[in-house]
Amino acid sequence: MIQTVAYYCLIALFAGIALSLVRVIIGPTMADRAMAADGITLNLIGIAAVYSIYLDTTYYFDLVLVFSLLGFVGIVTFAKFLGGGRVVE
Amino acid sequence: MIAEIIAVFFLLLGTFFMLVGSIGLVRMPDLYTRMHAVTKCATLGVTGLLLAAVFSLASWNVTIKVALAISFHFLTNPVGAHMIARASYHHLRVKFWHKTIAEEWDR
Repeated sequence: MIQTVAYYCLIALFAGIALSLVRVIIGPTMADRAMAADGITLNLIGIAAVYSIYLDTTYYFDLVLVFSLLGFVGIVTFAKFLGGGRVVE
Repeated sequence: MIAEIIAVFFLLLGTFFMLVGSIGLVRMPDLYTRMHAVTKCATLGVTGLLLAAVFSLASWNVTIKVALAISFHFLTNPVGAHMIARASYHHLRVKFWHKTIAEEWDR
């Protein structure tokens, strides 16, 4: 039962990536694009977790930790760039 | 058997919140309202999906990594969104939506 539910959840999460990509393309300001990129990262973390449920394996949880760290560092760097221009002092 | 039912419940909850967050990102009228949608809904969605993985794959390895990931998400996602909101309010001067009622700082 959990295999079919995980299959449809994967389809829904890919739709979430597509919607965030729409905001990356349209978004009138740069901050919109930064928030949408963070949304893509979070959807990708969800896909890694649900795919490991679908395959019944524990190998993709390192990806969850690494993407959390990379997403946070990326959004903090982008915010410092938007507000002043100097990232490393 | 019971663990499978709880895992399906958390899976549906997490997917629902992720979809609501992504739809809110497309349809909200302003930058600041879109920030609400992404941080709150997407953080809750990721938490639900990771908890579903804990109940489905019964392993200590997964449980410890998921506990680290959930606490990290709750600490860092609001901080990142707050930094972007500060940068866009003070430096980029992004305007509010035209039907905003209250504005805290006068510009």
